[in-house]
Amino acid sequence: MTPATAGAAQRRKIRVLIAKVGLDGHDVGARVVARGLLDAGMEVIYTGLRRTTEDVVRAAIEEDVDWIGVSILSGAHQVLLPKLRRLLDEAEAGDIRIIAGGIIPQEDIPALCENGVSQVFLSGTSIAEIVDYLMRESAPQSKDMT
Amino acid sequence: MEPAELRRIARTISTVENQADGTDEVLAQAYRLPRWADVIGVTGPPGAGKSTLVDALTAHWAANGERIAVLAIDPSSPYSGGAVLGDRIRRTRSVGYANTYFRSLSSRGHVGGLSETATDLVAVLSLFEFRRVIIETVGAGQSDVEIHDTADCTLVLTVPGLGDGVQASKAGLMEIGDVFAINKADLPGADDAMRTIENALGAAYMGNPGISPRPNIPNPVSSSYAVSPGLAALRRRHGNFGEDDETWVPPVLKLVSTDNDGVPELAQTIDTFIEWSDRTGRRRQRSRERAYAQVMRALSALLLAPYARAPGAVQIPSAVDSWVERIAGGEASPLEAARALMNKLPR
Ligand SMILES: Nc1nc2c(ncn2[C@@H]2O[C@H](COP(=O)(O)OP(=O)(O)OP(=O)(O)O)[C@@H](O)[C@H]2O)c(=O)[nH]1
Ligand SMILES: [Mg+2]
Repeated sequence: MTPATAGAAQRRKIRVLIAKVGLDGHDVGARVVARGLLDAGMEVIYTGLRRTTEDVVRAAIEEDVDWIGVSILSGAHQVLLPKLRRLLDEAEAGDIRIIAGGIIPQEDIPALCENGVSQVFLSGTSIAEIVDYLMRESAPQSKDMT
Repeated sequence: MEPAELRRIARTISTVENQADGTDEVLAQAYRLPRWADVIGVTGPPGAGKSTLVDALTAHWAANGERIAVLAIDPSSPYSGGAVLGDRIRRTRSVGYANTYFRSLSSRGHVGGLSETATDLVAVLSLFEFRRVIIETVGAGQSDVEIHDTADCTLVLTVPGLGDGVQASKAGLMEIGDVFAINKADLPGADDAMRTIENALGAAYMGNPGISPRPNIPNPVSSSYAVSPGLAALRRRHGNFGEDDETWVPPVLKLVSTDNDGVPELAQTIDTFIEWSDRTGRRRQRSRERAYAQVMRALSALLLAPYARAPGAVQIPSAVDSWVERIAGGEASPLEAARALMNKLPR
């Protein structure tokens, strides 16, 4: 066994892009989540405030992430999240999955899930729950390819 | 670049970064390229404005139509192995250029300011026809020295108000810079910072900043004096004033990266250095040093492979474990163990 193959599975890290889309201007929640994912051994790419959905898609592709975690406080989730999904699919990045958090009314969740959001975490969800979900759903070795 | 191409680039980088199947083939191809991208390293203390400057430089070169990539490295957590990679926050000006690619990398426990595979990733990017790659190092100061092997031009960034001692000799960064810059020159103390660095450089260099021709008068300092290893290394990289036809004296520039002030001049200085380095054969010499360092690293990884613990694993490999037991029990020394294990290596 050469070093190139030894432990390749362990070398893979779950990569998560944490994005803020829309115009609302604080990111405390996003930072707390980022920190929690770091503690769980994941690689978190942080994009900062006020990104367009186009920017987020480009970043997700360039960074080869497994997940995009979108934090939304502005109430624009019904427009932004399905748009994000559509742009990802159009860019042949359908395997990059979306989770969302922030302020989202309970009754909007089914429609979001039908429109390509894998999971919605309402504010008050513990970091441990998010970590568990990502660990469980990220099939190891499924993304190593050329 | 279209999304499909960006994806291909990003996934090939992941393959090599994870040393997954296919890595050997990609690298064998990438290292056989006739010419590498020009690699610009940006280093300096935390918060100096490295990412902001990298973004400004990327936009500057991208505006000329160049295909340009950024590798931005942040430290990993020693406890969890995870990382929060935040350099991308500053990608605001360059993001509008389709001919740019930006990748955030975790150091993944590697010390030296880069990640273990960073140099390989430059080869991969060259394979995808990037003509220029900018690397932002971890930014831990002293230990960020690996970049000077990997980069064709290393830029050391500092800011006003760090205090004399830290800025100059102590930081250990004086030895690795080809170009120096004081960022945040809009803050008070920029001129002081500049003088401090120029003074420190003055102790090691003669001639004016930039390319210096050989002076007409003979070298006042006889070359028969013993030179320190540090000075000898600088002369290998930048030439020996009075002996070589041309030497390089690292210029010190002032910048306000947030406003793009000084950025075009800096880009020009970097290009002048790389061109000089190419023309005088210094660049080739540097790539030889880099190749040597890489061979040594790869060799040690191969030699250690039978005994190496997989990343994240807790168990000590059995061949070593019996020695570890004896050392812990006061019955053997680590050196004895290493000698014995080396003699058992498969050949
Ligand atoms: N006043 C002033 N602030 C600047 C300048 N350049 C960058 N900054 C600010 O300095 C802060 C840090 O900038 P970064 O570019 O993230 O610095 P960095 O060196 O990449 O930081 P790390 O990667 O965390 O080590 C940000 O708030 C920037 O806006 C400048 O020229 N003047
Ligand atoms: Mg940075």
